[in-house]
Amino acid sequence: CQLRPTTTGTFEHPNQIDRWAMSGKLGYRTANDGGSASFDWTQKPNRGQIRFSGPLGFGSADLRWDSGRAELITAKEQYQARSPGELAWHLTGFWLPVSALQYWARGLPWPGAHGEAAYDEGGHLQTLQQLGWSLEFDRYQPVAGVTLPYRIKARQNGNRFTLLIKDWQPGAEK
Amino acid sequence: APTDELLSKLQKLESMKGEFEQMVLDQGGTHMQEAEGEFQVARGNRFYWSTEMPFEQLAVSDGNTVWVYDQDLEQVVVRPLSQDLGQTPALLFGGKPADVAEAFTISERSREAERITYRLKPKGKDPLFDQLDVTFQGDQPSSMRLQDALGQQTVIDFRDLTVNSGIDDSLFNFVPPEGTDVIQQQQ
Repeated sequence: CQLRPTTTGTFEHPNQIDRWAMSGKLGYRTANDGGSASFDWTQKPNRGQIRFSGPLGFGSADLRWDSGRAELITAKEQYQARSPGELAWHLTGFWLPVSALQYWARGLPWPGAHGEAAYDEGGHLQTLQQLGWSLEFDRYQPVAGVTLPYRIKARQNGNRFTLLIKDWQPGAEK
Repeated sequence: APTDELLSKLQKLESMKGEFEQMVLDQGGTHMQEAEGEFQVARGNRFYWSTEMPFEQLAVSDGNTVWVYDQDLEQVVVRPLSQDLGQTPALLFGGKPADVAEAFTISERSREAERITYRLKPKGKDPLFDQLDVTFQGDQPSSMRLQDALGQQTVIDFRDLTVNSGIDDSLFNFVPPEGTDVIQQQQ
């Protein structure tokens, strides 16, 4: 089925957004390897899909999940696991906290764990320590009445990732 | 035969430069990403592939090393150039034509007057793409279509092409700006 989110115009707060289509770029780095991929992320309250494609559009991978089940399909392999985060390890070399990323991408701490958050004068999340990651929300963009992150830089000992969100299409239950 | 015909066309191409429009479609044909930019390719496995839209990304090869630089990510991945044409499609025009015949099985896919499309299937092991169609208008390349194992297609159209002249050799080298995270990859 088409995961086209319903765009209901404007929002007062990012946590009202519970479904979206978002595209951008992910840079990732471990101690001795790294790379970048562009991504198309479609999210519904209980189902998500991120399609990655490598530089110049090749080397694609498809990560899908719903509650309790996740699958990653690449040109060479198929993997199953309980959570998308475990599977993202095959792409980036570290456990990408995909469920937390669903909140971080909206400029929100993940409710599932303790976090130390600092906000700028505009009330936007500036830095966050959560799940062993230290995150920096260094660029924002206006979308549908709210301000959402444009670039997030995250670091966890030797691992780093940068999430760049170029195109946001938020939606919510009508 | 298609192979000889394609090789003779590639033989005439010492270098080429111009603009490209790139579209990525998923296996259902749904339009996923669009990109455009400018490029240079020259014999000796050298290329400069600068994507401007939607993201700035630069891929450069000096014939030995490939740099893939993401300005927004402040990151450059540096790796040895894989001689395997299956990994680097730009080498179709920058590599030695004889290598192309070695790297791919070549057949003719369509022919309408001067517009001929050749289908190339990589012989190497786990290539980045399963199939590469390259279309020539007479002796000039006009487009490429690559399909990977997931059925995702990347279509690249060439525009304002200049062949065998006007190449700026300095573009086949890359020096990362201050503060760029350099990621060295073996292969």
